[in-house]
Amino acid sequence: MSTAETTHHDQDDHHDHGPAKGLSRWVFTTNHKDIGTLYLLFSLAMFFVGGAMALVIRAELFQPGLQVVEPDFFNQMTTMHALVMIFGAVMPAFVGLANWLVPMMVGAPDMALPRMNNWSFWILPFAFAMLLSTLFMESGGPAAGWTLYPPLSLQGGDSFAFVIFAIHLMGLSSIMGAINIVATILNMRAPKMNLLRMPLFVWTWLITAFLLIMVMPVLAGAVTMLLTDRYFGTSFFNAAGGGDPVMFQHIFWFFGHPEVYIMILPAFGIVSEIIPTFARKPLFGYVSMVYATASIAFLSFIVWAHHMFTTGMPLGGELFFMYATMVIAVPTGVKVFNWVATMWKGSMTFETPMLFAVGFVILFTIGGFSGLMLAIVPADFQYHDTYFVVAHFHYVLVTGAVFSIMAAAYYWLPKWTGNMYSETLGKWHFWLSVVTVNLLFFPQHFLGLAGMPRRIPDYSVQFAEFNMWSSIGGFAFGLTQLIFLYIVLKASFGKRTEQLPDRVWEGAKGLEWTVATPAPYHTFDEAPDFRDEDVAHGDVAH
Amino acid sequence: MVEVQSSETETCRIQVRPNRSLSRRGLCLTVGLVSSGALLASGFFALQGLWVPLPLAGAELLAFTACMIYVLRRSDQFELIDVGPDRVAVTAGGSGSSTVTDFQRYWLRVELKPGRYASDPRRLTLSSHGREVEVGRFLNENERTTLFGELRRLVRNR
Repeated sequence: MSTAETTHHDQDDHHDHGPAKGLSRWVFTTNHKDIGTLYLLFSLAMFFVGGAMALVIRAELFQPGLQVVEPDFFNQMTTMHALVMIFGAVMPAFVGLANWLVPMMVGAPDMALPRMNNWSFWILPFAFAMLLSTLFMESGGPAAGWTLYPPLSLQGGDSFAFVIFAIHLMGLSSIMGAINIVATILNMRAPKMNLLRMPLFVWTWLITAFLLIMVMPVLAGAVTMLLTDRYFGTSFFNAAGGGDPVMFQHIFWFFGHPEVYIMILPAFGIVSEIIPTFARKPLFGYVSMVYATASIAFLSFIVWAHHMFTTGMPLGGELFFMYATMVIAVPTGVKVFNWVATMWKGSMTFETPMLFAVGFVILFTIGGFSGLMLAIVPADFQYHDTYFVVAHFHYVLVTGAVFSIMAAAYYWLPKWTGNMYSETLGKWHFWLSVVTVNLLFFPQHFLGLAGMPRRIPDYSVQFAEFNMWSSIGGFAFGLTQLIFLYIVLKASFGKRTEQLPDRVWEGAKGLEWTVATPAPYHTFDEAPDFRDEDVAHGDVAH
Repeated sequence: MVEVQSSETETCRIQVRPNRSLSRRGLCLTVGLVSSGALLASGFFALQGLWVPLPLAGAELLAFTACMIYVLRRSDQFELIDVGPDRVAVTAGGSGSSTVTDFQRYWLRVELKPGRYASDPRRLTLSSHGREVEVGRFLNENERTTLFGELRRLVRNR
């Protein structure tokens, strides 16, 4: 008896045809690459919208006193900047990358639920139109900070209901995206690709998707209770009615802390793809990376109260949350060690994606260290609600998450567009970004240590000099990102001058590098023959 | 996935099924893991009086489970084409049920017909005596063409 075998997947949503023409291609598309592109472009647009808000903040803080905006509008800017950057820029960018890359990395022709994929993207523009429209309402936008702590958040204007509904829509979009990613990764992997042969980016996204599904109902429930407290007379968080505003902080941070890891785990995956390529070595300690990612995800559920040490909690609680938070440094340390060990004695070259990846490792680690400082209860009593916290989370989210997204954009841009970006411009972008981002955020550590509170439009003159440097860094960093915009637009719409090879980077491994460049509209209609040499992390243990 | 098991003396069997990397056990584990995490979290807050996340988590988990089951059932389908000396049997099924259609091999027509619209994929059909069965709906155009050639060869030669 002889056996011949070919494989295909269960997606018959696309046949052998190219994209539709015109606007309908983008509105009705179920193609994972189109939807990935939509997510990435949306995220880029939101990055500049949120960035513009940051510049309003930094312009006001350039000098002590009130110069540019009213205090209430300043508060609206701090709130909206955070909401736009978290839910509009960073998260959609990672979902966009997942859309583009996960099916190609696992050898699937598309996402498992392509129509739902279309909905999960198209909800987002409506959600953000609603959110941003509040800035033009009579009562102005939300001004209580992105954490929406009651009772302050309940004292805003009537735009509050729009904000809550927008957050519901964002959550719905995230949940649908997460379900799709879980279904795709678990059910549509190419034959012979078992879980421990998946690329690390796929692993980190699988764990991120689980986190999203577990915490999104908590956020939705929390903001719904705010809504009912405001409009329907309930007293979940109203002390006058027997509620407890501090419970909102608990429930919010039970969502909020895993959310931080939702924004950083995919970044770990991206860096774990890029460093081996440019070090020309397999990723060191692949299996430990997977376990470290899972450990971080688990620990993220039991550390939420480190955001609220100053609310007054029992000593046992403070100790538990302090030590649990410190334990996160262990799996994170494993990751940093593995990245460094991957580079050790590698044949390294420093193309732009690698520069951003190395920048990520160094600067994210600085953000991690300041996080450890904040984990220490007595120290946190001093640092809480100061610019030290602002510096910490911007090191984690800008030089961490955003740098990794930029690294990913440079790394996969040739595969997406068929055009190689200008390496010279890419390096200019990196070095200017590194210098200016440190000028922007590093002085904020000193401001915080000196006692400058966050979320204030005016400040004591003793903080003037560091704020001035920070604002100069902010504007320079913002302008530097125009280079990135130019590079992306040129690669996307510029004339193709050369045919790039399938494997654009010499050291790249993984199934996405086995398809043509630029990636065809439909890939892997037949499941690929997954071989040991395609294992992205080089670990061929079966 | 098209799997051809042939021999000069035995009945030849062609198995057509979608690729699938998730088992039923894997599905149960996944749903169990996600549900326990989400329900534990929202249940904890419900015990503190903040009950609103609990029904939302329930609704989300229902949607998650339904999507996973839908995906699994879609990839649970199969077609078995048994080409014997005299008869050709097509067994089509999935999710525990199946239907069998028998054809007399000598009168069997294997055809690759155009789709209803120009953009539709072609249809591979087996027909005789007024009965028609479409096979290989899961396949892409290249695989369908290959299966068509293989079926014609087997039906003619055996």
